[in-house]
Amino acid sequence: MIVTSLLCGLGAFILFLEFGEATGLTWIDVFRAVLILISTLWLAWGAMLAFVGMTSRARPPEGVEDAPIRGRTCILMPVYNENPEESFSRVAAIEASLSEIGDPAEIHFAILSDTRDEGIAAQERAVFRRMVEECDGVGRFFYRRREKNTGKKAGNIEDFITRSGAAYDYAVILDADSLMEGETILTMIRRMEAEPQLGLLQTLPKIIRAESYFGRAMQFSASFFSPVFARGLAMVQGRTGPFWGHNAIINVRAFAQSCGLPELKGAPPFGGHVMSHDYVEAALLARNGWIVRLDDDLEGSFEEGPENIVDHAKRDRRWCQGNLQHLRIIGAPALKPWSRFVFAQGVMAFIAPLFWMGFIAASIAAPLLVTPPDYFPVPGWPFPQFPQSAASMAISLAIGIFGLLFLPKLLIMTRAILSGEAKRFGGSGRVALSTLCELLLSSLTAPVLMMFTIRSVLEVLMRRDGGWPTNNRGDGVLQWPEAFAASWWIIVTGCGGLFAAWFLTPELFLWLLPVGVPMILAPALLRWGSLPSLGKLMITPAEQSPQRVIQLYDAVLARWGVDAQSSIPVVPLRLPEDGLKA
Amino acid sequence: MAYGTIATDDAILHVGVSGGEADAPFVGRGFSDEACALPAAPLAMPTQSIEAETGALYRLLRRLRGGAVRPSMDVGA
Repeated sequence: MIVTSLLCGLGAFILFLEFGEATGLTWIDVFRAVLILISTLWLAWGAMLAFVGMTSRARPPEGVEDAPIRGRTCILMPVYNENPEESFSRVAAIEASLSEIGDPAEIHFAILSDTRDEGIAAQERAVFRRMVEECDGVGRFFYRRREKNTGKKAGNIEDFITRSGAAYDYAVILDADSLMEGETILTMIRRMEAEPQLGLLQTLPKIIRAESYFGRAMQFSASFFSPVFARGLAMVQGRTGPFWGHNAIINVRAFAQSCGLPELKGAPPFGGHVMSHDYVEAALLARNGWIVRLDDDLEGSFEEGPENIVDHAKRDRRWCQGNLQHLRIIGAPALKPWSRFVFAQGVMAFIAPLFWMGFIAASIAAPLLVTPPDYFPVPGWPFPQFPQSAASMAISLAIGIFGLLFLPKLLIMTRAILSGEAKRFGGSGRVALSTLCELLLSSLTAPVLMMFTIRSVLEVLMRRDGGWPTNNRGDGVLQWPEAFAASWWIIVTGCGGLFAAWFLTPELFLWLLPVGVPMILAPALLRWGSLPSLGKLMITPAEQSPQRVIQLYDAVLARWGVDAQSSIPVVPLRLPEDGLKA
Repeated sequence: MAYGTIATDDAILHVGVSGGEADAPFVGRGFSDEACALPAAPLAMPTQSIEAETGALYRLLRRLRGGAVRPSMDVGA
C-alpha cells in the first residue's frame, strides 16, 4: 500500500514536471511538483485504505460468542462539564441493555467527573442519585469527582486505575456521548478473555442522532463510508491497531503497566500534558507486546458528532494540537515502526491542507516569480517554436487527483447497490443520491475546512495553546452574526486569492472558482449546514431500525423529562471573542 | 468533598434539572453515599518514557543540531 501510494505521488510529480516543462521548467514548477507529490501521496493512502477495505472481510474470532465470562469489568464514563442528564442517561441505557440480556458479567459503572463548574457538578450528583435509584445500582454504580483535573482525560482514567484498577480485569472506556449495546460489550469482554495478549479492543462507533444538514452528512459518511476505510485500517494495522479514546475495552493490567503518561517537557502546545493521549496509549501498549486491535465487525457502538462546521473545527483544533504534539513522541524508544507511521499519518492529516494551499498560492504567484517562455530560442531563426500542448497532461493530473478523492466513495456506493446493502440505507436510489449529495457537500465545505485546519496548524506553530474547551454537544443553529464572525477571514482570503488570480494568472481563474467561491460563501455554508435537515436523504440503518440501546436511551430521556428530539436548541452559540480561538 | 464519595450535603437534593418531571427536586430513597464510592484497589501505573532521548532519530537530530550525544550502552561496551 505504501509503495502504491508512493507510485501515485511520484506519477503526479512526474506528470506535473512534464506539464511545467512544456513551457520551460522553472524552480516554481519543481516546487509545485513537490507539493503535488506530498498531497497526492496522502490522498492515495486514503484511497488505498478504501480499496483494501472493499476487498477484505472481517473475520470475527470463532467460538467465543457464548463463552462464560470470568473477569470483572467496569464501564468508565469520564465527564467534563457535560450535561449530566444527557450523558448519564446513556449509562442508564447501557445498563438497561445489559440487564435485558441477563448481564452475566455483573458489570460495574463509574462516572469519573472532572467537571470544574460547581453548578454542573451539583447537577451531576443529583442525576447520579436518580440513576442509581432507578437502576437499583447501589454497589454497581460509582461516582467520583476529582478536585484537580490533572492530566485531563488521560489523568482521569489513570486516577481510576491507580485507585481502583486492581478490582477489575477490564474497563470499557466511553466518552460522554458514547452509547453501546449490552451485547456488544459482552462480546468485547469475551474476545478479551479469549485472547489474553489483547491489551485493547477498539470498536468503530457510528454517529447517531444528527439532525442538521452538516451533522447528517457526517452521520451518513460515518455509517456508509467509514466502515470500509476502517476495515482497510484494521487489515493494515493488524496487531498494532488504533485507539480512538472511547468505545473501546482495555485490559486494565496491560494499560496500567504500559500507559502511565508523563508530562512532556516544556510548555504547551508542544509540551505539557499529552493531549491526544489515545494514539500514544495504543503505541505504548504495542511497545510492551500487547495486541491493540480494531474489531470493525462489532456493531452496536455509537457516538454523537458535531452538528455544525464551527464545532467540527473547534474539535479539529484540539486534535490538531494533539497530533502535532506527537512530533515529540514519534522518536520515542522501542516503538513499533507502525506506531511511528501512525503518528506521522496523524501529523500529515493536519498539515496536508498547507501543501494544497501552498500549491494554489504558488500557482497564482508563478508569473511574478519566473520569466515567460521564449518562443524564438534560436537566434536568427525566423520561425517560432511553440511549446507542446500541456492541456492534456494538466487534465490528466486533475482527473487523477479527483479520482483519488471521489472514486473510493463511488465504488463503495456501487458495491452497496450491487450487494443489496443499500437497502439498509433506504434503497439504491436514495443511496446513490445521498452519495452524490455527500460528495457535493464535502466538496463545498472542503475549502472552508481547509482554511480552519490551516489556521489551527499556524496557531499551534505559533505556540498558541488551544486548551481543552468543553465539547458543545447538543450544538445549536448558527445565527448569521455567529457564522460571519467565525468565517469573515475566510471570505477575505477567498476574495484576495481570486482577485490575485484574475490579474496574475487569468487562465487559472475558472479552475480556482471551486475553491474560491465556497470560501466567499463560508458564512452561508456555516449557517445552512447548522440548520435542521428537512430532506429525506442520508438515511442510516440506526434511523431505519434503531438498535435496542437507542430505544432504551430514548426511553430514559423520556422518563427523565428530557426532550429526545431537542438536540438542536435554537439558541445563540457562544463563540470565542475572536471567532474560533477555541 | 472527599475522593470516592458523592456529595452528602442536602443542597444537592434541591438542584433543579431542566425539563418535565425532572423539574421537581429528586430525593433519593434509601440511598447510601458511601456505597457509591469507588472500590479501594490500587494498581501501580508507572510513568513511561515517551520522549526520544535515545535512538537513531534522536541521535541524528542532535548531530544535525551540533549537540553532544551520549554514548549508548552498546557504544560504551
